[in-house]
Amino acid sequence: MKKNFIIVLLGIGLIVYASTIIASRNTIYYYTTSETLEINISDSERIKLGGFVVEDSISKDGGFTIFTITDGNKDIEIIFDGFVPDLFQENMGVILDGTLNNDTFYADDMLVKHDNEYVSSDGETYNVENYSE
Amino acid sequence: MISSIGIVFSWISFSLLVILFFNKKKYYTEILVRINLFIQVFLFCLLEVGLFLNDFSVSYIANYSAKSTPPLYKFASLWGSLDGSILLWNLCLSLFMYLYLKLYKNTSSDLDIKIFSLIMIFFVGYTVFSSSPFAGCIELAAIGCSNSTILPFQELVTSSIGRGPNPLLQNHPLMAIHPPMLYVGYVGMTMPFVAATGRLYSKQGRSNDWVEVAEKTTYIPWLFLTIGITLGAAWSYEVLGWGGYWAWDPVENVSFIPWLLATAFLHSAKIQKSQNTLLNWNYILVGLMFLSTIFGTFITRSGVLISVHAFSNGNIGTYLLFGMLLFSLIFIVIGSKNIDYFSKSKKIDNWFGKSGFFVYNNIFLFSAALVVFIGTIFPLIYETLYDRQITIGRSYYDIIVGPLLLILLGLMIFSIKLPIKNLNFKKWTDENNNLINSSLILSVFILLYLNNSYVLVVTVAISVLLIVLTFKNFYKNFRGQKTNITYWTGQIAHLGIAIFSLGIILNVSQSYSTEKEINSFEEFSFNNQTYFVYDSIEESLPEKNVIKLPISNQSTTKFTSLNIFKNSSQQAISSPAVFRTFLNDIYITVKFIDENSYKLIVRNNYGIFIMWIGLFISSISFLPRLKKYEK
Repeated sequence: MKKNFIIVLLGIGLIVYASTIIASRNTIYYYTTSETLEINISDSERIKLGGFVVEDSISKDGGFTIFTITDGNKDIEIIFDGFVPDLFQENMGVILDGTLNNDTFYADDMLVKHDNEYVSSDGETYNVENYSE
Repeated sequence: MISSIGIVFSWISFSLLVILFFNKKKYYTEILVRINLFIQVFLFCLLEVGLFLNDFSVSYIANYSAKSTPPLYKFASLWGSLDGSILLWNLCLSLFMYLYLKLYKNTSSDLDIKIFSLIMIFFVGYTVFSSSPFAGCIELAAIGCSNSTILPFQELVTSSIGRGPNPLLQNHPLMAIHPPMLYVGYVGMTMPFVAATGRLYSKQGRSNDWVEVAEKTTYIPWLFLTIGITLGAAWSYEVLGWGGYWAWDPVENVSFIPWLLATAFLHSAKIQKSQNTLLNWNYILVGLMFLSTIFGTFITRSGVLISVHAFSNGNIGTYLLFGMLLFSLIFIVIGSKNIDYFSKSKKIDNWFGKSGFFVYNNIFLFSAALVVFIGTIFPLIYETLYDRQITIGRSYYDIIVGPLLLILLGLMIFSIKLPIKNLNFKKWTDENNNLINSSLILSVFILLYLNNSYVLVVTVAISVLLIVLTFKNFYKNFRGQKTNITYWTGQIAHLGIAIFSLGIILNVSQSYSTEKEINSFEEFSFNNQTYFVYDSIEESLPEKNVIKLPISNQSTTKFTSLNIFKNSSQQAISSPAVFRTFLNDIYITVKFIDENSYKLIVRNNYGIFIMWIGLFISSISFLPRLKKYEK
C-alpha cells in the first residue's frame, strides 16, 4: 500500500516536472509596446504584441492596413496583412500576431478584445494589462 | 414582473433545498425533490418567456438578447452568458437529482441526497445571493443595462433595445445545442460523486455497491460529454473558418479533462467489480471527475484566462473556488473514514493479464488528463510568478498528448480478448499472424501513396490492425441476444476511436493550404480541380450583414461568407465554403475583400469526414448501455 502510494506520487511528480519543462519551452509571450524596447528578438521570431490603436493613425495601402498602436509610452507602427475585424477602430485594444523588424511590426492576425461588455464611449482607462485579462 | 417572479421562485427553491438538507423524513424527501424540479423547470420556461417577449426590464435579457435576434438564438440566449447558464446548470442538477432519487438512492441512509442537496444549494445560492439571471434593471446603459438589483419588486427601468447575444453564438445552429450537451455531461458528473461519497459514508456502501452505481451514473454524462465535445469541434470547423477543429483552447481543455478521467474510471470500475482491486484509485477518480467539472466552470467563467470563449468576469471565481474547497473537504473526510476498507484492495498480480492492461489504460488516460491540466493552468501560474502574460503553444500538447493517445490506441488491440492470467504474447501473435501481416502491408501500401512520417506509419498500422481485429472478433464471436452489452459497446467504442485516429493522422500529416489572390469572375485551380469565383453578394439581415462569395467547382456551388454583426461589440466572422468528399475537404475562406478582388485561403483538409464517422460511432456505441440504466 505505502509502496504503491510512493510509486504513484513519483509518477505524478515526473509527469508534472516533464510537462512544466516542455510547457515553458512552448510559450508564446504577449508584449506591450514598451517591452519591445528591452527585449532582444530576431526579425523572424513570431511574437504577440498588444496595445491600443492611436487616433487618426489608420490608413490603407493596397491590401495592407497601416496603423499605430501604443501602451501610453511607446508607439509602434503596424503593417497588417489580413482581414480587419469590424470592431477594429481608434482607441480599441488589439493583440497582433507577427514579427517585429526595426520598429515596424508586420502582423497577419488580429484579435480585438471580445467580451460581452461594451467599451464605454467616454473611454475607460486604457491599459494593456487590464485589457488582456 | 418576470424579474420579480423569477427572483421569488429562486428564493423558494433555495429554501426548499435547505429544508431538504435538514429533513429527516423519507416521505418528504421525494416531495421536496419533485417540487424543486418543478420550480427549476418553471424558472427555465419563465426566462424563455421573458426572452421571447423581449422583456428588457430584466437585465440579463437586455444585455444578451435583442428584438432582432432570430427565435432559435433567442432560445439559446438563455445559456449564452454566465447568469443564464447557471440557470440551465440548476435545471440539469435538479433533473439528475430526481433521476438519482428514483433509481439509485441509498436505501439505508439518506446522506447521498443530503450531499446532492448541498451541491445544489451551492449553485442555486449563487443566483440568490450573487447574481441572478432575473435581476431587474435599475440603470440603463447606452444599449442594454448597466446596473441591476437582485431584489424583487423594485422600481425597474426598461431599455428600448437589447444588446443581442455574442455573435459567435448566433452564427450556426450547432452553437445553440453544443453548450447544453456539455452541461448535461458536466452536471451529470455530480451523480457518481454523490453515489461514492454518500454510500461510502454509511457502512452499507463498503461492498462494491458504490462503484457499481458510480459506474452506471457515469454513462449519461460520458455520452453527453462525448457528443458535446464532438459538436464543439464540428462547430469550430464549420463556423470559425480557421480550418481546424481543436485548438487546445483552455475551454476545450477543461471539457476534455473530465472526459479523460471519466473514460479512465469506466475502465477501472470494471476491474474493481470483477477483481476487487483499485478501490482507492476509483474513489479518487470519481472525486476528480466531479471536481474537474467545477474547476472547468471556474476557468471558463471567472475570466482568469484569455480565450476565444471569453466571458465577462464576475465574482463567480471566488465563489467556485470556495465550492471546490468545500467539496474537496467532504471528499477527503469521507475518504479518510474508509482507510480500512480501501486497504482491503487486492494487489495486482498479473501485470500482463486483464487487470494489468486496465492499469496501463488508467495510467495513460490519467497522465493525459494531468498534462492537459498543467497546460491549462501553466499560464496562470506563470503570470502570478513573473507578472507576464503568456499562452501555451499547441506544440506542447502535440508533443505529449499525441504519443499518450497513440499508446492507448495500441492497448485497445489487446482489449479484444484479455485473459485474467498473463497474456502469452507469442501465442497471441501466432493467432493473429495473418491479420498483423496484412495490416502492415496495407499501411505500407497507404504510405507509398502519401507523404510519410514515422508517426503516420505507426498510427496507420495500429489503427488498421485494431479495425481489422475488431471486425474479425465481431464476425466470429457476436451472438445477438445473449451478449455482454458492456463488452460489445466497449469494442464498438474502440472501433470508433480507431477510425477517428486514422482520420486525425491523415488530417495532421497530409493537409496543406495556400493563399490565392483573385478577382470576381476568375478561376483558380487547386488540387487538380478548377474553382470559379463569382461576384460577392451583400445581404442585410436584421441582426447582421453578410457578404457572400459564391465559389463553384464543376459540380456544385458553395458560399464562403463574412458575417458582420450589427448592434454588438464583436468582430466579423469568416465562415468557410467546404467542398466535401470522403477523403478530403476543400475548405475556402475569405481573408480580405477589396471591391472586386479577394484574398482567399484555400485548404486541403484530409480525413475530416473519417474523423466525424469515428466519433459518431464512439458516441452512439453507448446508447445500448443506457438501457441498463436501471437498478
